[in-house]
Amino acid sequence: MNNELLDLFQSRVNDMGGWCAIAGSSKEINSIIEEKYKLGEEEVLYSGRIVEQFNDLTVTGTDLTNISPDKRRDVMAGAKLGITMCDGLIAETGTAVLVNHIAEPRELSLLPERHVVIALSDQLYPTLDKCLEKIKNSYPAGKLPSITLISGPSRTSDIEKSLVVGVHGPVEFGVVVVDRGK
Amino acid sequence: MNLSPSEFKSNARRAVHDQHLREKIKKATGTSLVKRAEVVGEIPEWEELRQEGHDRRKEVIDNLDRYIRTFTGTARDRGMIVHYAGTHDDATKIIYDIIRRTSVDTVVKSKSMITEELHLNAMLETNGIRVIETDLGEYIIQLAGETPSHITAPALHKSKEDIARLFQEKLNIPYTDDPVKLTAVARERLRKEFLNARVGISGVNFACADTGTLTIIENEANARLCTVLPDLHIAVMSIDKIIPSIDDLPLFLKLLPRSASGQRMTSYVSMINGPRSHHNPDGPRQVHVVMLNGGRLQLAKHPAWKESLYCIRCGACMNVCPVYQSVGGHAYGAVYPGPIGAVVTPTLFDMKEARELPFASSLCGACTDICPVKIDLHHHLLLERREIVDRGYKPFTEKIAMSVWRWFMLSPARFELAGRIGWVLQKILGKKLPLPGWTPQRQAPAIAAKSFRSLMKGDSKK
Amino acid sequence: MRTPHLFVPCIVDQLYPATGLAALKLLKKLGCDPQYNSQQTCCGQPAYNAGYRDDAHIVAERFMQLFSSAEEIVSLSGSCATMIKVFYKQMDLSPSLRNIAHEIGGKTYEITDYIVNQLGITDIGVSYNGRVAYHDSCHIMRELRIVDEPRTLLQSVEGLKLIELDLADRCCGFGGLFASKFPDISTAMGEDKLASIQRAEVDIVVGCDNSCLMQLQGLADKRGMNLRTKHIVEFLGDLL
Ligand code: SF4
Repeated sequence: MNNELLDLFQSRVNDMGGWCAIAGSSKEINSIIEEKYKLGEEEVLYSGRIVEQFNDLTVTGTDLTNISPDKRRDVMAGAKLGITMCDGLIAETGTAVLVNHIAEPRELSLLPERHVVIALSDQLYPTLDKCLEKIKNSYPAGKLPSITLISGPSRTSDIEKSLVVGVHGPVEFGVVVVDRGK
Repeated sequence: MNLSPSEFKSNARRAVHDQHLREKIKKATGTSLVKRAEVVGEIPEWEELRQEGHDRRKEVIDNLDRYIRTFTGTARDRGMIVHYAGTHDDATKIIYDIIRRTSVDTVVKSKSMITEELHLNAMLETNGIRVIETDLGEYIIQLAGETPSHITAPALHKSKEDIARLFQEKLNIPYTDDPVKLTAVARERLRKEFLNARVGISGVNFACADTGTLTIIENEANARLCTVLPDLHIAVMSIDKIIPSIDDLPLFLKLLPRSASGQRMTSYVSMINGPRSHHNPDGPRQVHVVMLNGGRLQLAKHPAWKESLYCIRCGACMNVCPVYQSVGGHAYGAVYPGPIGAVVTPTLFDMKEARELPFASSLCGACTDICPVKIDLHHHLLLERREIVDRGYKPFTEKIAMSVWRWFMLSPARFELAGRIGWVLQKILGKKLPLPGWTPQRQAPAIAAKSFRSLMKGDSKK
Repeated sequence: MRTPHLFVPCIVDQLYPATGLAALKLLKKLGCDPQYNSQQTCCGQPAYNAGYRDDAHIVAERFMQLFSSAEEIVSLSGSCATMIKVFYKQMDLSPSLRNIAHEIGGKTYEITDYIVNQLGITDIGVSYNGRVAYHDSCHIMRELRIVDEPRTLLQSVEGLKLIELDLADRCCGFGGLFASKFPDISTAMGEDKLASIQRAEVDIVVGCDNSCLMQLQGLADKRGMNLRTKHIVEFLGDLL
C-alpha cells in the first residue's frame, strides 16, 4: 500500500468537505460508520454489492436488495445514509469512481441524506486517467456502463460565492478505505 | 436593461454607474480568480495541458463532420436516440415533440447554455409545459424572470439580500439572507419535483466520440437527479461539444473545473453511457440527444472564427475581463457575455446587431492568457473589428475621420501642423478644450510647447 | 558603437517630448549613438486597432520603408513596439513588404528590453530615495512578455523601493480609441487601477507607455487625487 498516495487522497477528500477513514479489516468498517453517525438499522441502506464483496461484514442497516423494487426509491429518499462500494479512488482529486452496477443503483449515492463509500486500498489510483483506463478495459467495447465521479458532498457557491454544502445531493460524504495490510 | 447586443453602449453605461452591481461582480469574479490561481499553481505542466486541450479541440473542429457522424453512431449503438437539429427552431421543435409524446406537463432541467440559446423555457411554457430550473443559480434567475449574467455563475449579479427578498416574495417564506437557509429552502422545494419528474432535460459538457459518453459536470447533484431519476432524459448539446475520445476526459476534467470555479474537481461528473439496459441497470429508459448545429458547421469552416468553437465554457475569461468586471453579463445583451461572448455573438449570431461588442475591449489580452484551451480571444476581437469595418457597419463619419488621420500621418509636416494647431487651441481655451470621450472623465494632457521633432530640428539632428 | 534609431511615437512627439530627450540622454550615457529620423510619424496602430486595415497598412508601410535601413530600432512605447513586432506580421501585405515586416519586427526593441537584453546593462548607476510602482502595460506584458526588464532597471536604482501593485496585471483602461469610445467602462477600469495604486502608497508610478500613464494621470487629476506618473526613461534620465 502506497501510504503517500493514501495520505494525499485523505487530504483531498477533506479539502472537498468530506471525510476519509482507514479500516484495518472489514470488521472495522461498521464501527467507524456507527461511531460517526449513530444511526438505526432502518435509517441506513447499503447496496447488495457490499454483501457480495464482503462475506464477513455486518453493517447496521438494510440491504437495498431486500426492499421490493417499487418501494426502493422512496426508501432511499427517506434514508439518512446510503453506503456503496466503488470502482476506484483518485488521489489527486479525492474522487470516488462509481460504475453503474446491478446491485448498486446510482440513486443510492444520490438520494439518501449522506453517502459513504467503502473502498479497498488497492483501488487507489494517483490520477483519473489510470483508473478510467482500467475500468474501460474491463468491459467489452460498447458495454461500458454509466460512470459517476464523486468528490465530496453536494455543494453550491451560487449565492455570493459563499460555499454551502448539501444542495440537492448528499449533505455529507465519507470514504472508508479498507487497508488489510494496516 | 434592453436585451440586445446593439444596446451595449447604453446598457454598459447604466451598469457601470451601478456601484452596487459593480461591487457584487468584483467580489464574485475576484473570489473565483483567487481560487483558480491556487489550483492552477499546483500544476507545473499547466501550459502544456492548455496546448493539449487546444489541440484536441482543434482536432474535432477541423473534422467536425466526421466527428458528428462518429459520435452519432456510437451514441446510437449505446441505445441513445440522437436527433440532429440544423437550426435553433428545429431543436426546440424536436425537444417539444419528445416531451409532447410523453404527455407530461412538467419537466425538471439542469443548467445548459444551449437551452438559453434556444430560449427553450419560454417556448415550452407557451406550449403549456412547466420547466423547473434546478441549478440553484438558475432557479434564482428563473424566479426573478431574468437571464443568466455569467455562464457558470448565472446569479452572480445578485446579492444575498436580493435573493432573500426574491425568495420571500415568490416562495412565501420569512425573510432570510443566510445562504445556508436559502439553499435549504431550494433543496426542499426541488426535491419534491425531482421525485415526481418523468422528464429531465440537461446540457452536456463533453460528448465522447469513441464511446458515445455524455459527460455532465456539476456541484449540486441536480444534473444527476435530472438524468438518473426520470423515465426520459433529453440531453441538449451543440455539435461542438464533441471530444475525440473518452481518454481525453481526464485532460478536460483537469482544465475545466480548475478554470471555472477553482476546484480540482467538481463534486460530480456524470458519464452517461446510454439508457437503462442489461449493461446499465438503472436510469431513464430513454435517452435523447438533441444536437444543435445553429451555424456552427459554417463557423468551423472559417479559418479564423473556428477557434471560438474550441471553447469549453469555463467562464474564466469573464472573471478576468476588466470590461466584464465593470459592466456585468447583462450589458452584453447576449446569451454569452464577456470575451468569448464578444467573440461569438457577432460570428455565430448577428454581426450587425453585435457590432459594438468586439470594440468594447481594451485588447488587454487577460482573457487569452487565462483561457484553458488557448483561444486567441483578444486577437479575434481585432479580426472581427476589421470585418465589421469592411462590411460597413461603422458610421461613415468614422471612416472619414480615419482617412483624415491617415492624411496627417503620411506627412511629418502635416502631423506637426496638427499638433501645433492643438497647442494653440489649448493655449487659448486652456483646460476647457473639450476632447470628446476624454475630457468629461479625465483631465486632458498638455500638448507640449515644442514637439520632440521641433526640438530636434533646433538641436540640428540628434 | 551601437547606433539605435529612435522611434518616437506620435503621443511622445507631441505630448511628452521630454521622454524622447531623456531617451537620447540615457542611450548616450550607456554608450550608444542614438539616431533620429525626423520623417517618422506613426506606426499605424490607431487605425489597425480600430479595424481600418487599409488606412493602417498605408501608414505602416510608410513606417517600414522609412526604417528598413536602420540597424536597430528602439521604441519609446511598448505598445508601438508590439505593433511593429507582432501586428505587422499579421497584416495582409505583399510578399516583399512581408519580408520587410519580419525584418523590422526582428530588429525593433522596446527600450527597456534594449537596455537590459541588447546592451546587457541592468544597473545604470543612479539613486533614488522612495517608493516606486511599475505599471505593466498590457501590450508589453502580454504580447512582448517584457515583465522583468523594467523591474530590473528600477530595482538596481540605489535606494529605490519597488512596490508591486495588488492589481499589477490589470489593464488601466486606456486601450487606444477604446478610451474615448467607451469612456465609462474605460474610466471604471482606470478607477480600479487607481485604487490599487493608492493602496500601494507610492511616490510615483513608472511605466513604459505614456498612453497608459496619460489615462491614469488624467483620471487622477480630474479627481484631485495626488498622483505622479512618468515614463521609465524619463524617470531614469532625470536621475542621471
Ligand atoms: S473562451 Fe476560454 S476562457 Fe472563455 S469560457 Fe471559453 S474556454 Fe473558458
